[in-house]
Amino acid sequence: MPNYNFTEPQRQSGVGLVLIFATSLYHIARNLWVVVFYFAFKEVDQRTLLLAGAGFILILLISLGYSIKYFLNFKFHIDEKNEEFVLQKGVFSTDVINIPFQKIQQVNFRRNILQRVIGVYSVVVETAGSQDKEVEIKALSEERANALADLLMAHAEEERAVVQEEDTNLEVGEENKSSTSKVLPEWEHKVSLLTLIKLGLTSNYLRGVGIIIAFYFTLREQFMFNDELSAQLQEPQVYWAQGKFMLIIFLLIVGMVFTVGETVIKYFGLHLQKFRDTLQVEMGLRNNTKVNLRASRIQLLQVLTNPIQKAMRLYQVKISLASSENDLEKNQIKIVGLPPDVVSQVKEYFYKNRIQEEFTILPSKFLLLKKISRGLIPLLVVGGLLLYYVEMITVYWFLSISAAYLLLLVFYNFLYYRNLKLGVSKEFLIRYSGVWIKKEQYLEIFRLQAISVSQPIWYKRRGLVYLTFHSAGGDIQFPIVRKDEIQALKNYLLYKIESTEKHWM
Amino acid sequence: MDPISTPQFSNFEVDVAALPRYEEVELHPISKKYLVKLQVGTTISFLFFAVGLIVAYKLSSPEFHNYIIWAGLFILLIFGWTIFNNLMYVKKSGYALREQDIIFKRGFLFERITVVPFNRIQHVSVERSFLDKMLKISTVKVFTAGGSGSDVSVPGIKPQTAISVKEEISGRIYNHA
Repeated sequence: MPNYNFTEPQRQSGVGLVLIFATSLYHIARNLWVVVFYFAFKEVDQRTLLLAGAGFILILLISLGYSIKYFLNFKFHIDEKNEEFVLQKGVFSTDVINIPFQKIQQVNFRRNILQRVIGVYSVVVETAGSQDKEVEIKALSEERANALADLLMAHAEEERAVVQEEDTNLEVGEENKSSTSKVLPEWEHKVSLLTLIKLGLTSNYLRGVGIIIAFYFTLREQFMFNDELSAQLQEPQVYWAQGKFMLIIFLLIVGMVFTVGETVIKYFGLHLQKFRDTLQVEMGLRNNTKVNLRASRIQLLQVLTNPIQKAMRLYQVKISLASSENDLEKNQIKIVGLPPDVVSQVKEYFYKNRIQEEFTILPSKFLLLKKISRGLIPLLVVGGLLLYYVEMITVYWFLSISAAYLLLLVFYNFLYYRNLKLGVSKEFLIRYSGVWIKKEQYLEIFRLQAISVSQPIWYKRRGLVYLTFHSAGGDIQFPIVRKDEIQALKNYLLYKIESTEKHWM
Repeated sequence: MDPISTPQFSNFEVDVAALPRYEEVELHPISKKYLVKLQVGTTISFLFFAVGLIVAYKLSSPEFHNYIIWAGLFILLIFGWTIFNNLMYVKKSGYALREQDIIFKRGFLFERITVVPFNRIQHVSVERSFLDKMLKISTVKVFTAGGSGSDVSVPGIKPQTAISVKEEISGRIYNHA
């Protein structure tokens, strides 16, 4: 491996210029395609065409100039003295971004199709800071990207080690690492295409259907100003209105295909590799990402599955990293299609000690009562309205439908109530929930940020409360428990947080 | 309720019964001046609605007058409720600092107690709005990494107290960092 010197300000790889130019062209095309469409469909005289052509070439030249300037001004380096990563960019003004080592959360790789064609990687430096959440260097060769990422992560860990003295074996590890980094992984797991297809088939299609409907409406809106096209689009609508049943079947099939397609594109080539101190996750067809996860950064871990997927041994693991904003979904890494033994391997890496539950907390029966009575409200409203217009429906029909609804309601909420549990071990809180999709959330106690207890006034007499555990990877809520049952737990948790010297990040 | 009577806890090596209990801490009330601030805010928004309704009454044809009167009564009812809610909110809310954490309790209809350990606080700030300055109160804001859910903002504290609370917390955070 050639030695790269990152202490001097330097530019991206030369091919990066191609990438910047292509990206800006892509943005122009995306904004102007409607205009192009306009020219394609409308008759235009030569003068307008000539003007448009000239304008087009002008835009090309400007964007080329802009790209070159952007490329030349984009420089980065590592400032060892001030212990920070420095990035300068900007075409007309100069932006300087300094990221202190201790703020660096993760260094990830990302590649879109174009980057793969020209053979470069995006290096994404994620920070825990509030403003510049991530910094991206878009074009580095694989070796340079790896070298930079390793160096940054090493610096970030070093900084942490100073704060956290207990990591005594780190120095030894560091020496090993520089000589044997990127050796064979300790274990690895690949998710095959077939698994992804199976996974797509057993997922929720409704989301796919929803996306298609939304897509249809945005398309329609885009074409609305063009009379001809909108007329063409109106026609199938009329046709569809004739067969609602066919439409539903059609939508479901399209939704299914769409869901499978989405799953495959998003998780294509999912590859887990466990190295000495990171878990590397690589995936994606269109946007290929490579993420190095370190056990010390994991704030919240979730394991999900539904009964069909469980039977096929497909589990999903969601990993939350610290995020300063409330868009917690965004900072989640989803790994899908894992068999149970790999899930436990992942858990073992993140949480060295086996999790042994000491006791569980169950929600109060009032939760079930509340859920059912909430579900009755729509029934009462509909019933009331029907009483008003009696002739609309016979009493017989009304009774049978409401009986079915009631049965479903009770059954569903009973399952919800029965599956909701909070396990407590010495080091962990584990929340079990879900009716169809079963969810297990693992939260290490020392990573808790705060605890809230809320109580509506009407639960005061019964002594029931809601519990919220705040972590940097999201909140975990536990509804309606007896206050005297959790009082001791809460004091224990606070004691655990306050007495730990371990740094939560 | 004595925590030791909950049998599940026998497995812990920590004597849970001996741990300090947050529920026994006496909370400092928040200043009554904050109530004034709340009521002023509520009244101003009420006045906006009232003026809107009066204008609507004057401009609209008589057949709508009935509806407008009903709307007016409805808003009056909400106004009364909000005034009462503000009163209870200030009465019920309070905060306390312990050696290791800050406790903040707020809310009347939905009471919420949040405990933030000092070693999880990112930073503290003291804020004063225009009305705060007139009433001579401040708001102490405590930020954590847990998002808005675990951030705490204690309103209605005397400026000198607010600053000393802030200094105190800052000092304790520094000790942990």
